[in-house]
Amino acid sequence: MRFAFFLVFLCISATVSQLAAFPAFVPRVLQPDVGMLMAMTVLAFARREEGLITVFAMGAQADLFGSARFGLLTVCYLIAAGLVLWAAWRELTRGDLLAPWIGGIAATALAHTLYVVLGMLCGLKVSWGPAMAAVVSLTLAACVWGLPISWFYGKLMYHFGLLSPGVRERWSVDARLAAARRGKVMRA
Amino acid sequence: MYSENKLMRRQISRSQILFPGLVLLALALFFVPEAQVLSLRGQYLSALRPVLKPFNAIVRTTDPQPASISLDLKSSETPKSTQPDQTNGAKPDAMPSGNTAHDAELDRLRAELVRVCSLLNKMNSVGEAPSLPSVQADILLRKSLWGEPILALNRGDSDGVRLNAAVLHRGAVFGRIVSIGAHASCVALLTHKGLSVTARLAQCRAEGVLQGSKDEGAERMCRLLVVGRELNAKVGEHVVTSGYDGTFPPDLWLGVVTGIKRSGDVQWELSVRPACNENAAETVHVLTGAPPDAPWPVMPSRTQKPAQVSK
Repeated sequence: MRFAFFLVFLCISATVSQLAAFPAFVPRVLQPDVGMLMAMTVLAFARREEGLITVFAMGAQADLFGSARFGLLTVCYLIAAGLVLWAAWRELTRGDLLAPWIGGIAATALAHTLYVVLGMLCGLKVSWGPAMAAVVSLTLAACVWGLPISWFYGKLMYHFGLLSPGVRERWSVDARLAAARRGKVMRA
Repeated sequence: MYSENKLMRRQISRSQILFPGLVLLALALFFVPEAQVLSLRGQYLSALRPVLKPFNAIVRTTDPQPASISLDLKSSETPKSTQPDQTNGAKPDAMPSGNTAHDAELDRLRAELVRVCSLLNKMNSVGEAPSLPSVQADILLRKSLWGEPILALNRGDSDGVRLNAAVLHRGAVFGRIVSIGAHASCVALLTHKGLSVTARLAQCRAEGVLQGSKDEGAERMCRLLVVGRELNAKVGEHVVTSGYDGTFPPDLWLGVVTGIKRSGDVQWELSVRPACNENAAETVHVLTGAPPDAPWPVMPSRTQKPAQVSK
């Protein structure tokens, strides 16, 4: 139930930031695919099933507003997430922020390149030049925004209690260590 | 250790089932009808409108003129030495040497053009509603990622907006409402591949259908398909609505012809640059008047016997 509420919150915040918040404050070339970055954060920090469901939900919300063919972006999100998991699931689920950041960049590039290729196969009129420029711009934006988004949603998941057991253990140890350094005692 | 390995193995096997299931579900999304998707989009936007509104207020800038009016003004600009006085319409003091009657006539026409353009600017001033019954709407959202040119408006069903209503920007055609929620709606622009409008060339009066989705470099253009053996259209000619589709009233400005090509024995394809720049428009007007009562042809049913002709 907690995860369901969190997923609804994620969908709404992804839509609002993708469609309104980023276009209001950030130039077009630095507007990331927020849904993919959030999905990779959840995939890295939460349980595997919850991560995959989040990837699907984020793909569907991106499809609703940002795709020329409904369903295509969801498939691309899932394939990209699957490829990242297959290539580096152990590194991705280690619990540090670097993993979802790099994973988000790789998944963004993969998903949107796949979208261009599959879109052409599906009969969408996509020109290579502008399409590749868009992919590069999204990847660049993922490099800039990946880390803050991973940090923010990771913290949120920690407070909601949605982290996977391994990651939660690691983060708790880190928190206890930091508290001990500051001279405070923290219970396990 | 043993239980941890067992847990991980179980988790992996569960996700091995879940992943293909989700991919299949995503593939099933391909078969969702577009009307349903648009309807869902309208309802979702309608629910999110209170959250989106503050961001919309931040990015609002002044609304510039439609592209073609600026073009006309640019083309009417003359060198400083020959430019007439625009304030009172009087003749310029210093005329260039070797001035002929032809040049004077040209100057007079230029001055007239500037006067008409300034009159148009006054008529199109911010906040002035068009004469057609309409509701003013702000653009809530623009295109995102790979989406088709569909924008969201902050007016919906409760404000009197209806499906397929025409959307105007300063009197020029902007698009058509394709999905509607209680407090928000989506408008497909003229450049959208699925949109078609019956149109007419303003000078040569040839009629055709204007469609979207024609890429010329980075710019999205429309194409006007005209059927006819001969066509006297010229580049720069204005395209207006013909009103036959029942959605748009006749004689609304659609765009300017930028290229003419013969695509068949009796078919012509004209490139048309839309009158409105989607990136510049902030406020639009949605026509709220009822569509015209066009009589539909009554098809005789198969069971109905033909009337007997009396001898």
